[in-house]
Amino acid sequence: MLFELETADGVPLYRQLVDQIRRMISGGTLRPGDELPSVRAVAEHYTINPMTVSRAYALLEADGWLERRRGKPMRVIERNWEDRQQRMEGIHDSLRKVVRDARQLGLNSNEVISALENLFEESDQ
Amino acid sequence: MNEFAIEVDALSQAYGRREVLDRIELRAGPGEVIGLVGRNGCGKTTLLETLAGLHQPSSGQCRLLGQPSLDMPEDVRQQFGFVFQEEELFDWMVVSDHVDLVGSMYTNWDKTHVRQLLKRWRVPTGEQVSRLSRGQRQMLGIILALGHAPRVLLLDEPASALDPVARREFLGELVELALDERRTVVFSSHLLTDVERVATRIWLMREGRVLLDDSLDHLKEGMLQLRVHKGRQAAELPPSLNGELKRQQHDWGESVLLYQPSREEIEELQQDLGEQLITRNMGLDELAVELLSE
Repeated sequence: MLFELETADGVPLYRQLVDQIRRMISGGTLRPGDELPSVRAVAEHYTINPMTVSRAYALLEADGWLERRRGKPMRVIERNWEDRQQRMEGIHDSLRKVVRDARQLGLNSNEVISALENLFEESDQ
Repeated sequence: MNEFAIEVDALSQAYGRREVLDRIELRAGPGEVIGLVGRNGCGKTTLLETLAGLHQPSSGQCRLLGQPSLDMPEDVRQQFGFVFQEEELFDWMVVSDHVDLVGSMYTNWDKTHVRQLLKRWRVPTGEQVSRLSRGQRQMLGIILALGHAPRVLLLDEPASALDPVARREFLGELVELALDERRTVVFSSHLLTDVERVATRIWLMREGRVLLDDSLDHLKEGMLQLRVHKGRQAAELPPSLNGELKRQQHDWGESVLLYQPSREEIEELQQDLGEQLITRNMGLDELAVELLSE
């Protein structure tokens, strides 16, 4: 399965699912038209309550990431993925967390940005 | 048909002078899987047993599927299952005979499913019940409670003697039950990572009272811990904060547990205290320790 769920975490499981699916769509791991595993399949695979999965799917549907079709699996919606603004949305929460951590560690934005640039370079190689 | 599967109204239970349950009010609807959490002796078992109609409450009442627990009509009994800590099994019986006996009491007993579970969970059907290990007894108890796919299922520390693999299998069965949204499950457990997997709602008990009754997601999102580390400069939290539940002094500084804090207040604190302030969300295990310890 696609997801990585952490049960003892402070982040609710449905939220973990939402964030991961959004990131996968923004990053291209999930492409428009791709089908998602059924609620049952995800619940059984991770031994989590099915309501958690349906809640995550419903939120992604409401936000326009997934579409529901009668009697068929949820599907990644067709839309203009070239829109960079939408792609930025997928990383916004992670960035917010970085900013928060940086503040707590007393690091300024220049230091964090240059660390990020280094990481980008590393991943290019 | 009543909309609540479980209703508890002003329920109190006293043994002599000892108040075990103190004016408990609870509701559970279809589709809910409830984790009943609390320290030993806080009244979890008494609550479950009273729900099952095993005790006459000192005052108040419990209803299952709209009917009083104490006087459970046959059609409710057919839709109700429970597993108690001291599983009342007949030690002198052979496992397969025991299964048949319990099965004969229910009209909708699913023989095939029961046989599959016994095999999958490796409960030796030819063995005398008295010769089963603690874990095997517990598994047998669970299977006997699941055999008629109850609409309301109560489980008192059902997985305490199970090894991690068996526990996961058991949780898988709870997930199967939860896939049918008409069912309601209440299970008590100290294994809070298990509770986090399958529960939708938490009933947190302390000294005979329900301290918290909340959806698990709401609880996790609503609780925030602040920590201020005594650094080079003196840093202090304001004497009282919105949503403050608990404040503790430590060698390293101060910690405060907040429930539904004000975002503005937290942001201000972050500006003022900078690196000395740490904000964190907590898993259920940590939350329970925070809320249940003195």
